[in-house]
Amino acid sequence: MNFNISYRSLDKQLFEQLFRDYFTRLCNFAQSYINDLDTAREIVQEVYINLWQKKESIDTDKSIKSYLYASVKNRCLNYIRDNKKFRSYVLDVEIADFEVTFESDAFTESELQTKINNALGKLPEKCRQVFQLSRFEELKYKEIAAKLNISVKTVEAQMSKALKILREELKDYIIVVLLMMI
Amino acid sequence: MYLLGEIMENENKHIDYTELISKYLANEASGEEIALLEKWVIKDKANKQLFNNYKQTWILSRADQSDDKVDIDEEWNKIRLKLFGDKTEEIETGQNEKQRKIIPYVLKIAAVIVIALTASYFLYYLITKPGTETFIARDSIKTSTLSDGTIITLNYHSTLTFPKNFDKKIRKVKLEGDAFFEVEYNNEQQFIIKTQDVKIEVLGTSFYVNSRQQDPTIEVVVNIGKVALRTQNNEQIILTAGERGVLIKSSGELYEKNNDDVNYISWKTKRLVFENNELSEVVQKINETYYADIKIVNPEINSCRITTTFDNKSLDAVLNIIRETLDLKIEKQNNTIFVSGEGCK
Repeated sequence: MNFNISYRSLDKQLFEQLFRDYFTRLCNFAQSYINDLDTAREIVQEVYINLWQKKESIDTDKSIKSYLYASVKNRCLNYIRDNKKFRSYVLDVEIADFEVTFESDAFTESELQTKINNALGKLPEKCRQVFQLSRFEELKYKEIAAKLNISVKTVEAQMSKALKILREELKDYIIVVLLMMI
Repeated sequence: MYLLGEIMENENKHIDYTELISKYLANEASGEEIALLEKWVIKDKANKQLFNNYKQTWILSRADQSDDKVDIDEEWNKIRLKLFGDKTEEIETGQNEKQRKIIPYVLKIAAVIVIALTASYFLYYLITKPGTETFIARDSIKTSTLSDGTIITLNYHSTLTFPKNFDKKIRKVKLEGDAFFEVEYNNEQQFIIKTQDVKIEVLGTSFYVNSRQQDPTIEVVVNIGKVALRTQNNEQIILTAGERGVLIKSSGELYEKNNDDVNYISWKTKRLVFENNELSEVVQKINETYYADIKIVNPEINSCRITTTFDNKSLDAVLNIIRETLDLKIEKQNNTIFVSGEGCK
């Protein structure tokens, strides 16, 4: 869906559409910064409330979608900074100040999801198992090693391999989805 | 100092930074490792870019993983109350009898239908349409008639959003879940159903849509008339009465076949037809139809076969007939019904 419309013309219906289409995705996105769904939900709610209340005065060339993602990212960074929720200030806050920009209509959300699923499918069996246990089930390396009857060293190597392959597979999307300004 | 620096450099060459970044992202890095990574990242713009690149890969790889944890209706109602102050309208009907909350395990397929429609017109419509109402079925099946005469039956845990007044050219509704549509014919006012990813458009017909978010496919079965389904890649199939269209969400594959399930809207009609079906299938269908939780205790009876028709019978009546036909034992414990027996020859 094309949401490349002006902020002023955002009415209640379009707002609901935007909310229903992106709320869950934005929560997932926020959870990449904050590992707590309730806080993520609150932050995304605030972003939407702000969008509605400030729509007359928002002055940006960004599409609404880019605006939403960028706002969520900024609020998340503020949250982890203010609440000292970072593991490393440098890695989690300081250098995370890349610009989040969606080039509208470059691809649809379902295309992206298909691409991600395909990328996961390209991982060798063992590698995918390890990655999924870490990324989706949030198991510790030790737990993964025990579960799959392999060494922690192997888990480390497989995770690194998975990330390398995924980065290569998702390269175009990373550039489009999160355009970095360094 | 110079010497120490040299040693550090040499040591760093043996460190696999991708492994270190993975560890950091997976929350496995120690304090020392984090310090090492920080130093490496600050040292060089290319390192910083590589780190952010991996971080984005990490973020992307989970783009749609936790959908089920967010209740979008609840979230929308929260913000709606805050910003607009109005309440969700729930239309009550006579069919609102309290039934069990158990959702039987059914591998359902979901689907989506679309017809040609330009995006710009759709957007124009979205922007200009007036207030909407929401029709929610939580723990019961609900039926409602829209202002154009179209009758909608929602299955458990399904939501339909529609405008208070339809546009002159288009009747547009939004479905999340499972529903049966009897669309009032009007060749000047197309009827569009938007589901999760796609749109469905018809003039007047009756058909069933299953578009539950958690299901791997979207499914449409046409009862009367014609329905066109189109994916976002512009693949299109036309379904006529008795046909079933299936869209596999992950691959985008779209295909049609004959609808071989006569009981596809039994949840609505409470009419079940079995022709030499195995007990395991029969139990699954009854579970779906009555939102019951029937379990077969011993697998020997799975292959017992039944030929019968149940027309608007109560769950107890259905169970009684099956018990007597196959000489089974039926026990209830809380909300679960256990079926056992000696097996059939």
